[in-house]
Amino acid sequence: MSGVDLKSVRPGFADESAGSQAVFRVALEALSHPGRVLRVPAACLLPRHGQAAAATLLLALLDAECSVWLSASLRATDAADWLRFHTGCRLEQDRLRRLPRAVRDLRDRGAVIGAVWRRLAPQRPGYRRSPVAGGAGAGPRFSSPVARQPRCLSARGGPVPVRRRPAGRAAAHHAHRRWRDMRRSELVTVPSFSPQASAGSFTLA
Amino acid sequence: MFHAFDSCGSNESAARRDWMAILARAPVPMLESALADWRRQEPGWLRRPETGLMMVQGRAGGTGERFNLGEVTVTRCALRLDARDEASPVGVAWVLGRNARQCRLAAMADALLQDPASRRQIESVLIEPVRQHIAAQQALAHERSQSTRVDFFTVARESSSPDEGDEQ
Repeated sequence: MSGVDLKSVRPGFADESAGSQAVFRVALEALSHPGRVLRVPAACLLPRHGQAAAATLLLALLDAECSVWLSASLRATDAADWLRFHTGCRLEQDRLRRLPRAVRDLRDRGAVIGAVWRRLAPQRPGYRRSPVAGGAGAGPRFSSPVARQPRCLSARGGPVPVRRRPAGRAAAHHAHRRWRDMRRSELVTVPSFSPQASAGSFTLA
Repeated sequence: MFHAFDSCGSNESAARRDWMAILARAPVPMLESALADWRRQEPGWLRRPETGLMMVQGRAGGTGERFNLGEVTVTRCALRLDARDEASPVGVAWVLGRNARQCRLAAMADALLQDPASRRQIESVLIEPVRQHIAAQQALAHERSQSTRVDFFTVARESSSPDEGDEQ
């Protein structure tokens, strides 16, 4: 049992029930509209390290029965203590080396995998970027088969690309590349709350 | 439900463990009077007072197998005296019952005791009086229970032959 160093821990939600409900509402919205990227409300004070939207989402979703895996660099910061103090979650030590299988198993059990990319490369193959027509949203636009109409994207942690679901032969290659991407990203697992089987697979936290 | 990991790490000093035990038992009027200078200011909450259940475990005779005695209501909170100063010490309190005010005052006292500037003052106006108060309460309870004490005597049965155990 390792204690949390409270000196470095920052406060969480300013109003716990209202804040977590607002964030949960956004999470539901995101899962029910794959391809639409939503703004996570700034309902809490954040740790000094890590990604703001992911931290807020985790603060709302995690509880004492959840295990979270954080990358080694993130686990060494105050973000780990912050999550543990406010949610009571367990930090997973396992590095999840065999990620594809682990992710598949987790998804079968109804877990949602969220990955936060540190560096985003919208021009890479696999992303389809629609020309920005201007208008209300200034962010880049992406489209996916699920979201037929291009959505305007913006997030506090930077624009998040929406992956196009490949068909047929390209699917295996796509999946492989996806696992490779996830391996070098910050990975978190949260319990599923969506009835859609594929809700987690294309929704980015 | 509460979880044991967060508030009292193993690196806490014995002195702090001692004063937190005192503060958890301190009656509200004593806390109010001792913290008169601080009680009105709004602390920076790390965790607002929240009430939950804790399982209390006991051992029969102090040495027997551990068993669940029952659940008790506990209120806990964590705060910084100065919300803007992130380097200021974090006060933590867990008190029996549902009194959020008592929990808040106890946590403020814990934060003040960690600050070398105010430690001596709080120790003299709060910790020592509360320690004496608790000792007096315990002495009173002990005295009361002594008046109803019954001593049981049993006469040890003598074995019929001292060599009985060796006949095998």
